[in-house]
Amino acid sequence: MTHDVFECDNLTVVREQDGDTLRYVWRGVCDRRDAPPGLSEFIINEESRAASMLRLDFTPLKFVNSRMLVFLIRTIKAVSELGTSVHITYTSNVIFQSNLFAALEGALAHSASLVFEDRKSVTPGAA
Amino acid sequence: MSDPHLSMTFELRGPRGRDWSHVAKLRGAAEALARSLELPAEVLTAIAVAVEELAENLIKYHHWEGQGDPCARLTMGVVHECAELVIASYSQLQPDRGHLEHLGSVFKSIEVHGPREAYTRRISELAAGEDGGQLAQLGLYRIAVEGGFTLALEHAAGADITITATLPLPT
Repeated sequence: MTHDVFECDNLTVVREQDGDTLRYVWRGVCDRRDAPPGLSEFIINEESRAASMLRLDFTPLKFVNSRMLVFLIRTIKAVSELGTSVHITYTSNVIFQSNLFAALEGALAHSASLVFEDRKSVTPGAA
Repeated sequence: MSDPHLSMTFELRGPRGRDWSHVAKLRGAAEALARSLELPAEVLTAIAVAVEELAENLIKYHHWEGQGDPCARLTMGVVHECAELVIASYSQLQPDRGHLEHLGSVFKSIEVHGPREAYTRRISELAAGEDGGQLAQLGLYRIAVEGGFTLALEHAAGADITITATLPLPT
């Protein structure tokens, strides 16, 4: 398994590759005024296009401001258009996650490759 | 805000008022007041969302070069013997940028569809790329849905504007 880390301000995204599965774990707080430089390229690249499964885990993400919420939505949409199976994990214990991902699941329901999983038992910072 | 039991007001003055780092400072100060009142964790989360979004709007839309009131203000107070938390932002809008029309459409959507459905519709627009720009324009929906606040909009003479968010407190 390989392991890379992207850090910007209070946000950390960890990328783990296990065979042809890529997992991105989002952690911390994302409250910038503009997109974290290099994060899109960290997620959408040759490796993610070649992967058979992408897992985006947002459960440790505590807060996202509205500007970055748009970045998150666009990133998820771009990932869903790669043609790869995408598994999104979130927790409805975090209020912004609960509302955002429930709404996105409906908005992106046409994307057959996208699966949303609510891990209700997870609370950020508890681990 | 009517007769607050306890309140604090922040004033942002140009040119240093227009500093995005003020948003986190205002949020932190509001959370500190909420903690001192021993408000529950879910209310702290609601306050964080409301103050963050209202402070962003103040900095973004206040007419910093205008001839009127040079201050943008954000007040947080507890009224009706601690039964309600009220956060209000007062600003003079920049002219000719369509903010008032936008605010009117957001309040209309919340009134017609309810906060959750209005929020879901906005997320769908953003996911479909129908937003027409880089602005999220999600703040008021988030205050209503994530924070559970009731919102009110007052537009006085000229370009002065007040947005008030009210949250009943647990008894």
